[in-house]
Amino acid sequence: MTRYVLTRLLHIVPVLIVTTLLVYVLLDRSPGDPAQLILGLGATQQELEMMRDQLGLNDPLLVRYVNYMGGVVTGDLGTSYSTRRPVAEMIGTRLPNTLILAFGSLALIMLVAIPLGIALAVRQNSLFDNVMRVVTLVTAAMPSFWLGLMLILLFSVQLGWLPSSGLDNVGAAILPLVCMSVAGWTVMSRLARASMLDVTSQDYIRTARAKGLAQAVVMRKHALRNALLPVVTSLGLLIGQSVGGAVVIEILFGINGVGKMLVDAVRQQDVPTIMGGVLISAVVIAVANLLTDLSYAVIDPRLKTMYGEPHS
Amino acid sequence: MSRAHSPWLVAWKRLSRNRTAAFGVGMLAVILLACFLAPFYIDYQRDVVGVNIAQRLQFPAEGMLLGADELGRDIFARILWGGRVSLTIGIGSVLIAGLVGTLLGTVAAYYGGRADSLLMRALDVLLAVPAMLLMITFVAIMEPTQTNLMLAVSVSFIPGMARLVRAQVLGTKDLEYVTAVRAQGAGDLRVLLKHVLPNAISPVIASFVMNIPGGIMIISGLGFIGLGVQPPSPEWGSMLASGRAFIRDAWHVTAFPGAAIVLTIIAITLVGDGLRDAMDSRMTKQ
Repeated sequence: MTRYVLTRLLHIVPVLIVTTLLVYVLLDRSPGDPAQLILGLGATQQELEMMRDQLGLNDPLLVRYVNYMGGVVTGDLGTSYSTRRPVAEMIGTRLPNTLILAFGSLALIMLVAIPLGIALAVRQNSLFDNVMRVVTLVTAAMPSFWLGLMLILLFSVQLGWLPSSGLDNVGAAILPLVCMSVAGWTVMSRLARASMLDVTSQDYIRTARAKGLAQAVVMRKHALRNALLPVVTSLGLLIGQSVGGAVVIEILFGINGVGKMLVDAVRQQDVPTIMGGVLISAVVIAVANLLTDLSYAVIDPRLKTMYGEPHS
Repeated sequence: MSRAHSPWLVAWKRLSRNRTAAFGVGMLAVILLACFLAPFYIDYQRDVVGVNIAQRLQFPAEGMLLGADELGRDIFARILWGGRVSLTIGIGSVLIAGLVGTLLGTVAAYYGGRADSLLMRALDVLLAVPAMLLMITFVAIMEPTQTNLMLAVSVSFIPGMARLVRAQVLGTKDLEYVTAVRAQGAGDLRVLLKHVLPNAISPVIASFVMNIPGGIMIISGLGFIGLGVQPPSPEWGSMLASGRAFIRDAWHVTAFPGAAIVLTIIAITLVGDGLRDAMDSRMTKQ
């Protein structure tokens, strides 16, 4: 198992290097002169040139990238052009909010979608199944931010039950998390349903039933684990969407997170902050994917024996 | 079937017999016509961008079907006009990504080896960056014009499409009939264009169509966070963003542009579902 974790950890490194290089090269083409941005319009040509030199902007692109990554390894993500504060510090204060949104919604998606999908599979083609088919057609078509606005309209403006912004307490977290989860509920419950139907039509399930086992035992002991495999695999895709989706939700609910920082930075052409935001998102996604792979190993015993000790 | 029909004709017949899909096609046709013919029956200067403070936040009423926004502009007219942006970017980006993805996927699968692994690794990296973050990076380096945004959205679709096409071409290129055509002396280009691609593409066309809702979501999401198509030109996402401030007094400013997104995406999903069923050759007997 340790070897499996280590192999997976090593796989993260090339992905991060290529992703950051791609974004670094892209951002190099961003318009606007950072020196001008920092010093303002009143700066003389000489001052600008000194500032550029100080920022290392006169070095070749690849040298700058290597220097940047050297800093990243030691926890230095550069200094924001607009706030003049260390980017690492800016991210540090905002990351918890983004993590709450991303992982909170992932947990919420799994907790609701898997039982729902199983229930739909067990009652295939019932009234419940058919009604849910129409419901998911509509929910899949709703952008999270519009759903959020409509929920604010109902629960904050009309009923006054929940706050319409912030992330300071459990009550405030409800609306943002629900908005981020609805699309996931739709996709994952469909997937869990299809996967469960696929598994329960197999021979070994018929054998288990033929042995006289109760329906509940067959489902729980024999079907569930195998049916969960594709669901867990697609968690990986969902993680990327959650981190991306957090951007929109942070703006909608005025939550001070990494996504909001990114959008502000783009407006101000603040390249180091954009770079830091993208980098930290890529790290979060890579780590979350690693966790997915690990949970995969827990569900699928074949993987455990492949990488684990022979007699564990 | 007594006579041989072209697979496209068979697919079309099946599609038109599927009532849900036909409903989707009709709905989408109405939406497309209403949006793209808007310049013929809506006065852009007066209704779409013209400020009229007297009817500020006016609720839906006679002569103003969906009410007016915070600057007194007709919301219905703005939704139709804005639909041109969302639909052009959504459909256009899928077309571009479909072409590029098909090209890359076919090259990777057909020639295999070094070209294959190099292309696929490169696309894997793109796949690892969430579409929203990729879009934000693109907006940071270029003007958010309609063409640029369309190209940027298409970039996020290319890896997935290339993978789909690659898998299909891999499954087709070594079939006996392809070997037979090659034995007749057909060159690579002819084998690919006339014999491999037609069979490899039809199962993935539905998946291509299913990307359009994603494109519309991304573009309206970008508009919502203020990085999309710039005002005063209307766009569904940015209409929602500006209505956010008035949600306590005027629900209609945010409710209707979102409803337009939902209806459009439902229509496209129904069409996509129908296409998937119609193009699936395993369904022929039914």
